[in-house]
Amino acid sequence: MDDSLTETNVAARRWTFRIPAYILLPFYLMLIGVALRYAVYIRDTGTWDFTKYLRALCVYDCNAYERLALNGYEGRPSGFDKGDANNWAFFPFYSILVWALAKVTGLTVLVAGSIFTCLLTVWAAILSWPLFENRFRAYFLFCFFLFLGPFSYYFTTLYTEALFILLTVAGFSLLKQKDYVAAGLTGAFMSATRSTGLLFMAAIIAAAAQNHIKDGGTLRGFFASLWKRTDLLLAVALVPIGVSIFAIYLWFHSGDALAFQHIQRAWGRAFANPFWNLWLTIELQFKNGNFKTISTDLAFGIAAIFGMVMSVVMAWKGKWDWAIFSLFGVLLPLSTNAYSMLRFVVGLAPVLIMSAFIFSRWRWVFYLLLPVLLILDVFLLPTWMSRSYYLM
Amino acid sequence: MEPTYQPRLWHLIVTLFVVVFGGAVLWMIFNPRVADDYRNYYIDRSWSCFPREISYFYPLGEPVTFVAGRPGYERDTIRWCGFMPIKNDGIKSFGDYGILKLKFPIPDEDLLLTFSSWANTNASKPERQVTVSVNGKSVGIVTFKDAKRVNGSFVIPTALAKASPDGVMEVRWDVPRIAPPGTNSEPVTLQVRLEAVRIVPVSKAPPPATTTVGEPAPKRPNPRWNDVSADH
Repeated sequence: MDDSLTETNVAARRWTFRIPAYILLPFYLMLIGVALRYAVYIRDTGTWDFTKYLRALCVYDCNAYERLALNGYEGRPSGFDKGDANNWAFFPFYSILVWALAKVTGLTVLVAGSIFTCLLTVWAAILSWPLFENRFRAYFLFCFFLFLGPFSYYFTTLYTEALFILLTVAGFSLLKQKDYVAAGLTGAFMSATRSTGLLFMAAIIAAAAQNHIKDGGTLRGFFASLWKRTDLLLAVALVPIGVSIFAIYLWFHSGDALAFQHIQRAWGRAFANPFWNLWLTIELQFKNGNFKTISTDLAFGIAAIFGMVMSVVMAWKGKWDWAIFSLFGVLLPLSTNAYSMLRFVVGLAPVLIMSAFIFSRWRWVFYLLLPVLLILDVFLLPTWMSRSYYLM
Repeated sequence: MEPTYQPRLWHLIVTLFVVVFGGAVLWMIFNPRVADDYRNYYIDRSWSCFPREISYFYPLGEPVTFVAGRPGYERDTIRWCGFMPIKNDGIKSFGDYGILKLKFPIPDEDLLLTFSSWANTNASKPERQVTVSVNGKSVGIVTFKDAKRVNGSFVIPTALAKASPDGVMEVRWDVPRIAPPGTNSEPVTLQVRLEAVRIVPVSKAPPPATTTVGEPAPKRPNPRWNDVSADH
């Protein structure tokens, strides 16, 4: 074979190698988002110190995850005014990864964690691409929301949302490929990241039923064949492993395997009817005679309703695995209190993906939303940094 | 045509291990190794506060001032349960009760408990009664009719003072519930704010205070501290 020809072929292959747009897009948007918010921070504060910017972004639970990565789990509760809080409520997986990264790179936990979170979000966006079924506009909107939307702070600083969304989209992609055992293993990491990760067990069963029907079977046939489905049995059994390891640790550390749940009393969380909690939250706004502004309580209530409506849409579209996961992903935290519902709903990947599908359906809505999201991102930055309950 | 599936042995073996592991976790869940205070507050929810670990140290006869910046005994060694930390205006109760615990050599005579307190109420609301008890036995009731200061002054009989098995005296303010639980499932209770507390043997008790209710106390001759709050 002629050498020059071989070289040309190699060169041609190299030339034709392209990084797909769905991989580049989240990288670009992430970089633009970080640069934009940093510029807004400089303009607002006159400070160029990037570490100070990262510190300013690190509010509320970010501090808890940072302390967890630095010092591990605390002893006897003594925090807050009532002296009953500590960091047992925070699941360990994310902080363990940040701690390891900080050790390996030599960076501070804050810097390592912030970079890591940004990259996790990029990874999550890339992994979510198969779930978009080649609808690039919806994918673009999803990525834009993550990196340049009003809740971009969760995906830039030390919060578990990025990791949880990454694991969620990975899990649902694996379910789509019918790799249930791998999905179950992903679920184990989900349940080590957040308590709602446990809900992935229900998603596995729903996805299996869905796939069974898609393959020409019936729902009755699915249930009849369940006894043979050792793959599903193992997949479902794997999911609680993450939270179980955490529970074992807490049993040795505090004496209470459910300390992560019991300590929630410090945050005013106790199990109750989620719909009653929703009613109380919405009622509070109007009971106080507030008919003009959207209070924090009402915002939490609206977020919960939005999450539930999106779950219904998912079910209507035949995505029962997404629907069940999202619906209970809303109801579980809502059953303890409506507080932080905005963050909990934003942390549900199927809700974001389904919203992206809907809002990108009409070109004009899509183009209208981009500047709206961008403006909210910029204007809410000082609000977030001033520790607003609204965005929590 | 129904899809068919082939069971796999290794799935079952791994599942078995996971189930055994899960059984161990369940055992741990149902067998917590916790102290009573933890169980009562976090698990049973029968207590409305989680106690602090404190020394209970109290020099008998000394006034304890819970107002930041004031002199007095400020080491925060007696605030045990149900009172928030010292702020500019005293310590505020939360939940159904607030408890102070004090350890001192109990003399063979009656003691006088005096305190200055306020409540988050006003004249338009019904009267609120707060029961003050020592070592589990009521020594009196304080009635809050409005937002003004209420001074409490109760005699603690020697026998009652010595009734505590561990030698630590418990002084407790039981407050009424004033509204149904809110979104955090906790009952809404009257909030009592304590500004100062003192326990003194009756024989060494100062003469009765002449302060008008709702007004600040007049400055005594030769005060034991300088009034620093006047300029603030």
